Amino acid sequence: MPTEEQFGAFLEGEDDALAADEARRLEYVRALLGDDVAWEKPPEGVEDAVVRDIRTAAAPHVASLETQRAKRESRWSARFVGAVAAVAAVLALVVAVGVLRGVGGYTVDIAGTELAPLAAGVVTVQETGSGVSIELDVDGLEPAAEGFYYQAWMKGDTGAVTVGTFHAREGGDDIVLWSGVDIDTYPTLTVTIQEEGAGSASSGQVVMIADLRNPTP
Amino acid sequence: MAVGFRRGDEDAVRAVYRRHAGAVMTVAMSVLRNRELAAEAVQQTFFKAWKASSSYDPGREIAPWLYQIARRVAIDIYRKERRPTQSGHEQEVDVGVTEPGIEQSWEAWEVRSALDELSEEERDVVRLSHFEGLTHEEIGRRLGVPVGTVKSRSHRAHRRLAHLLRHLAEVAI
Repeated sequence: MPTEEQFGAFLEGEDDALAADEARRLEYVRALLGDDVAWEKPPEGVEDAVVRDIRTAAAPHVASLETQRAKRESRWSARFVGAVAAVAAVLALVVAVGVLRGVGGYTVDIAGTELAPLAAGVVTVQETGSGVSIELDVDGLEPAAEGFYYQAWMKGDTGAVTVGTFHAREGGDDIVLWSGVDIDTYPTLTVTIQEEGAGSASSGQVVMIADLRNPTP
Repeated sequence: MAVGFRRGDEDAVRAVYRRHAGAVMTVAMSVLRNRELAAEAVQQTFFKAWKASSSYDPGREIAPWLYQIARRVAIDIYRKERRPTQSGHEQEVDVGVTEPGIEQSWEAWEVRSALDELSEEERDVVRLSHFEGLTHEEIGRRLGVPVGTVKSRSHRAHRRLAHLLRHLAEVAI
């Protein structure tokens, strides 16, 4: 292994500073110093755009719900839109987190486990007359490999009920799930990685988890 | 800084951006080889990092975590750009755009991070020497400094790079 002095001399251009095999092994480092990828700067304005994006996304919960509603407008009935507007007005005055449930749609955070440490996102929960609509927007979740898929579960003391499957091979936005069981009895949402053909039972390999009783303030 | 970033504090966001945007751009460029797409990747990376910041442990180094996000974002953009056009025929693909192994982009990140640690004077000498291929005399004329000063800065810069990148020299094939 070269000393730092030898390595430094090699990087500076002294080819004989290293033994031939070391020079071949480390030539890529010197080459990177001359590659434009090592020197390109992000264009002006990207920094401000990042700050703007974050500021918009971090806006109060009411504004966030309204933004999501605008994106999925075609799926909501006019009557429900009115109900959400009323909920938005109530949310602005509510302090206790527990009051948010049962009034309309709400969001909870979902986090990755050790199996998917970079995964994180938001779950939008909407209790309706025929079940519970659960929509995931996640980032950092690796696309399921061929032969595998993700499965979401509602879990409680009495067991687990599947609420849908997805693969996330083109991103983790707008994953729509549906539950026929209630949140009070099955309050935990989990996502497992499953193998095709391995049966319908949970693999037990939980990659994401959320508490559906804990709305985002 | 990490805690402020997670909260979306503007000063902290800008501090994290200014510290790591160069390296993120390097990873994006190494994957995409296109400045506009790489800029898009940089913007998405920092936003996604903020969105995922609840899963980040502020007690750990932010760079490896940020690198993983940058690489994933760049590859996602690369794959989207490679999709066939709507008419069904294969989209023309720039022969320079290849999907790199994880080690290539990580080492590019490390080199860029090391370059960003140099002083501006040292970095200028390295860039003019390696990227523009100038001799010490030519660098001295460009910067308006004596050639002895160029040599001194070059020596110092490359020894500092060797120190910052010593872990790359330690990795066996």
